[in-house]
Amino acid sequence: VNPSTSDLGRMAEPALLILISLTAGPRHGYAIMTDVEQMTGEALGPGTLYAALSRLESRGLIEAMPPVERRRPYRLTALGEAAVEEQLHALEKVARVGLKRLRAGAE
Amino acid sequence: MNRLVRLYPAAWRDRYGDEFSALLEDIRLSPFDMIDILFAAVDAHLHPQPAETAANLQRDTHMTRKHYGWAAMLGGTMFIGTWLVDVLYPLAAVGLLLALAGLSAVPGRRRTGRAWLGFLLPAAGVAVSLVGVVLIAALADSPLIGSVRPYHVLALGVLGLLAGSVVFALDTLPSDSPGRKPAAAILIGAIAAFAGMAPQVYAWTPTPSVPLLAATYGGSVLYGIGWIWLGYTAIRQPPVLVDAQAT
Repeated sequence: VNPSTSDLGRMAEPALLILISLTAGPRHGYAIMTDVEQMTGEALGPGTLYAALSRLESRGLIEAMPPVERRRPYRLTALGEAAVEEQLHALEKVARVGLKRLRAGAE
Repeated sequence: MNRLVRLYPAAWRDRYGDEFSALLEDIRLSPFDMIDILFAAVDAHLHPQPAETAANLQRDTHMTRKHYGWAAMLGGTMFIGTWLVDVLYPLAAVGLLLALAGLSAVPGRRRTGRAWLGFLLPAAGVAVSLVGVVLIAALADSPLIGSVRPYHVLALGVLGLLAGSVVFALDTLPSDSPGRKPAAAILIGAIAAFAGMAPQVYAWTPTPSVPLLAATYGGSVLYGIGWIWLGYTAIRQPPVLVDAQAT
């Protein structure tokens, strides 16, 4: 786990989902919520969304852009891009090992 | 909606309140969302994030800098105008004093000896010069003690202001904030004006020579332009929304 997101605790998963959503480009809160719902099939609560956003912003993983009609888009920083890439590689490795073991157990 | 946002701490509301309200207007809130917001508001009270305070601090700094920028522009303009209409001097003095206080201390919130000297020396100069203005108004050009006249008190204060501005400019030059080129203009202008004024005021030379007059007026105009430029630069500097790289 990337050290810059390791202390997010219960916000780690929503934070990762937000980072993944922002890999497609800058988005404001509502767009992130709908994108995460499409990705995972589960809605991210507005309170959880902003709790995670403020943590990501404080850690320099995302940055706020000028608001457009009160809706402020966020975008990944270079640090955020590196963090999400590292976490996705770690998850990919875990998924590969898990699937391999499942297949081995089934044979 | 606003009631839900009010559950959050003030610093959080200042940073995220508007966009969060906009989001709540975009969605149909379910009971789950209400509970989610309640928990998140408690979390925001228990775990304030640096971005909230950093953004507020920077916004405050920007606002303050903007005001000091206007003060610098006023002070610079009035300083040039003083050579045409001398009653403008108190406005120039107060404007420049405010600008010195704000623009010397704001960048990085530095508290070095030179930063303080760059404020205290011209501040003392302004105080002395304003005493001189009051004395001139009260006594015209009657001698105070021996050959010392109210005009000498005013001039002493102005020279202190110029000397202090040199320290301020030297302290500002190494930093981009609020601006190197305007600081250089202040530095050169203050040195030239000081060098031109001091010999004339204290009669170190029998008659004001053309080079001394040129240094006084040219330096004063450049000094004023430097302050106007510095103020304009400070006003134009955009606020940085988030500078927190806390890990």
